[in-house]
Amino acid sequence: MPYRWSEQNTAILRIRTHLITEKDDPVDVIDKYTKAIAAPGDLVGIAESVVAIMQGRAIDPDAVKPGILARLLSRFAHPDSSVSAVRSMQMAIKEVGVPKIMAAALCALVGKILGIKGLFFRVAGPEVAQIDDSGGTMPPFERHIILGPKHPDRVARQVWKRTGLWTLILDVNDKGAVDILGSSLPLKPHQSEFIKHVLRSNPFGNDDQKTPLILIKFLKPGAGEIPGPV
Amino acid sequence: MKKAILNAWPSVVVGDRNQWQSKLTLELTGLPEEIRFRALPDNAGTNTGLKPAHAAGFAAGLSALCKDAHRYRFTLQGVDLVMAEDDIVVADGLIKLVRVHPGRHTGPGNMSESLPQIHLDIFTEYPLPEQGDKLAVDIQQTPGLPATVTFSFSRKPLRDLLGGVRIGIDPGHGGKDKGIQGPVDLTEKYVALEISRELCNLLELSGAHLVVTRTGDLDVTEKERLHILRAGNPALCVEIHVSGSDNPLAQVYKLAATQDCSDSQLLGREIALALHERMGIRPESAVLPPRPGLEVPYVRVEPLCLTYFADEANFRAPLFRKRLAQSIYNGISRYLHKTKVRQS
Repeated sequence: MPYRWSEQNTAILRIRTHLITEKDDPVDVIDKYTKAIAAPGDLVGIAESVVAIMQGRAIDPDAVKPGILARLLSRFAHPDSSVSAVRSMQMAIKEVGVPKIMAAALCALVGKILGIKGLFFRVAGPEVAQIDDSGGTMPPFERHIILGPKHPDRVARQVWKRTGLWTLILDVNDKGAVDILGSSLPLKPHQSEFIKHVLRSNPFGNDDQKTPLILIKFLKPGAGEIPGPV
Repeated sequence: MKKAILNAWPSVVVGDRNQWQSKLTLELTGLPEEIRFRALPDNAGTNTGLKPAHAAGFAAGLSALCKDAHRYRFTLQGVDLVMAEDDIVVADGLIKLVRVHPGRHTGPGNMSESLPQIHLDIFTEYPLPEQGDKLAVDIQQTPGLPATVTFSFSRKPLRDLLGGVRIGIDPGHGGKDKGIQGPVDLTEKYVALEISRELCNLLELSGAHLVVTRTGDLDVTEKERLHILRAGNPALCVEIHVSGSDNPLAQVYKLAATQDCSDSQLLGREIALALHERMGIRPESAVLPPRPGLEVPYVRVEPLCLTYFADEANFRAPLFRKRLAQSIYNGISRYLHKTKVRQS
């Protein structure tokens, strides 16, 4: 059966959860909140920061000791960038290593001269791009540094095996940017475009709205059916 | 798919005809069979059934938050909960908290039948306005997927409380005087001004008259500030600064009130309590020397530790700034309420 993902066919349901911590498991959380309302073929999305928190990747800044390189490089980061804070830069160095960060910094310098933006994160890689410093995360993690989730595709597949729901690990912001970090199944280009389009209004919200989970329901029968076994 | 509540969130809006309202919006998989209402006894003391605070840093002391609160219950019949049972801290000046929790209803006649029902317990600062013998709340239901139910409450009690009151706001520093500098780039003069702008916005919506010492990045001397405040004849004054420390990991917050002035102390206590409830911070008390020619309740608030990198980063988020300003606003309105009650 061909896929028929279109915006007219869908409803986005946002689900308010309990306060999720490192004691929670992504598969249990998604199963708990979707089993009463999800149907085969629905998509479930979960915010990447919440997956990271459950994986113990919310770092207490008091535990981070910034080195000389972090102090130096953070000064050159844009003030709004997550690595402008020295402790976040230190975590970036820890995530990808000194050589890669140095290469990224060098490319950023070249980029600045040539007028090309974003080279630092492009070279440093998604692990650094996904670091969230304080600001925008809800309490009690509002002072923590949130790293990106580990193995997001694997997490998404684990959820699918338990629930039968195609799961997406997502990074969405209020500016309409949507990154799909993990998926239970490989996404075709038109499917990625569909997801980015329907989520551009950031249904996860920010601040302390506690809606890290969304269900994309397909309203017409068969509209979301996935061919083949789970 | 069963009918259930997915999500609940509060907001404050200014609608048509300058209607200023607190709203609570629910998203559901289907509309309830019926919505019932009743006011609950005002004994929101120790047995509120509220959960303890999740963490010291946020919404600490939920029981304290709802002490002396007025309580109202809306019961939605025929719906269940998908969202987590929750205590939603609102602290918007009118609504303190909303508790969403399940109840059980026995169907008519047959004792073994039961319909699901969900209670929304609304804890408010002040009694909600009434129209005749009914509560003045507007309930809008919109079918669909998700369906929505929106409860709108008039914020008239705040306008009654603050309308016409002259309030002095003094954002510290300005111009060449940057004040404390954060580890990245924010300065005290900028932070103080932004907080005061948000606070002024709330106070103006409430009908208060404002006396503000600076509304831009300007050099204003101490003498000029005093002159502006004295000329404006405010009923109370709030000076806004930030704190800092040589220790980059220190989190220091301060609130100073005029020495030997019981009303200043009361104003300071209410603002400190509101900051603790919403921001999870406990400002240290300090004293201010009296300001010559300005014999009104006067406090100096430092609700942010700018040298702490997390506070500087958090301040970049607009919602965080609004929350800070809202906390100070809540303290001011509670102070005015208490002095009004004392005088009556």
